[in-house]
Amino acid sequence: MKLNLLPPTMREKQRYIVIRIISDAPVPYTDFTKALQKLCTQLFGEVTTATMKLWVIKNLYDAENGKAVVKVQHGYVEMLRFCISMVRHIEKQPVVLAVEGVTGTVKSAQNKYGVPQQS
Amino acid sequence: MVTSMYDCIRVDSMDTATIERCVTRAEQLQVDVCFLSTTYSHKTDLDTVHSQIQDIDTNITLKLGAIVKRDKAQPMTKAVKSAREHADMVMVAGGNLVVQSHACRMPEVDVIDTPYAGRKDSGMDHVLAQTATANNVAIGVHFNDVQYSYGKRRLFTLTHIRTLVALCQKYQTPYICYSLATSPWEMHSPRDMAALLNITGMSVQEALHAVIDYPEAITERSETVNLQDFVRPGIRRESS
Repeated sequence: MKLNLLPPTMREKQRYIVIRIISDAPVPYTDFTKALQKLCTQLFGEVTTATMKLWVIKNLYDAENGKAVVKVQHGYVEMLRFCISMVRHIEKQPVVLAVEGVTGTVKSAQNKYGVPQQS
Repeated sequence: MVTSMYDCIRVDSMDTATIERCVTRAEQLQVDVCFLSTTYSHKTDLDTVHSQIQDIDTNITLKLGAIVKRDKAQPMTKAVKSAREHADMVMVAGGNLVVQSHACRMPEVDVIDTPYAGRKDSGMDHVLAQTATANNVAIGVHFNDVQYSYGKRRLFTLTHIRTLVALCQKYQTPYICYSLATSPWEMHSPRDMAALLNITGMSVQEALHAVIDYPEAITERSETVNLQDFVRPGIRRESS
């Protein structure tokens, strides 16, 4: 049995952060997710990270072109921005992460920042 | 209105190829104006950097910065006056309270870099903050200080930044945030660096001043301060 969708007034607002990954070799999805979640927990603690509802969208993750879309709860964008800029290494590989933009829907993230839909 | 984002990197003993890579990375990270800073001991330090960046083909504006690092006030004053004539931005390395208090009183100084460096306190109090405001001396926060420290050291750094942010808000002291990167892998987007000030107590608008408005004011001021007839902000020597 599937749960019903919450009414619009009870749904929490989300923001989609488009991230650019600059590295010598492509970074796998799992490594990126682990690194971001680990750093977020280290910086803000488990309670705040849980409230942030951090989620790296898998079908929008483009390892070859170095692009990722991260979903976060509205109001925690600056915290996540700080987290993203604090990442230095992913699996011993030096990386630079930079936020390209913040959008309110996945569709506008795809249109504005050219994030391709992965299969 | 078009706004420019600023960053400052450290080019001490960097070869031309590395500087070029840093400039390319700055372009990728949406930096519009980049200060290439070097530790200042003599005019030749800046001349070396100037000759290295002349052939770099880039869309961003490159400017020269001098970091004055002295243990005593007298040599610092002398070095600042000498560096002022050649550099677009003069930074005084923080950490020494005597040097910092003198630097706050000098309108020739643009930035006091990390006043908390090597100290157990923030390195600034309300008196120094007021003096810095009067002379338009900015407080520099170094992003990589937070990124490259761990555990206790990172906690203390964030605490000191929080104190500095509170002082800057109360006394309207200018503040800037930069990476002072020594390699392309240490560079960050200026907008992301502003998030550091946001999480330490500033609003987003206030945090953005650190990477847009105050560095812009420094570049404008450096043009005025470098003029021959400059005495103090608002005062010029009359030509006879």
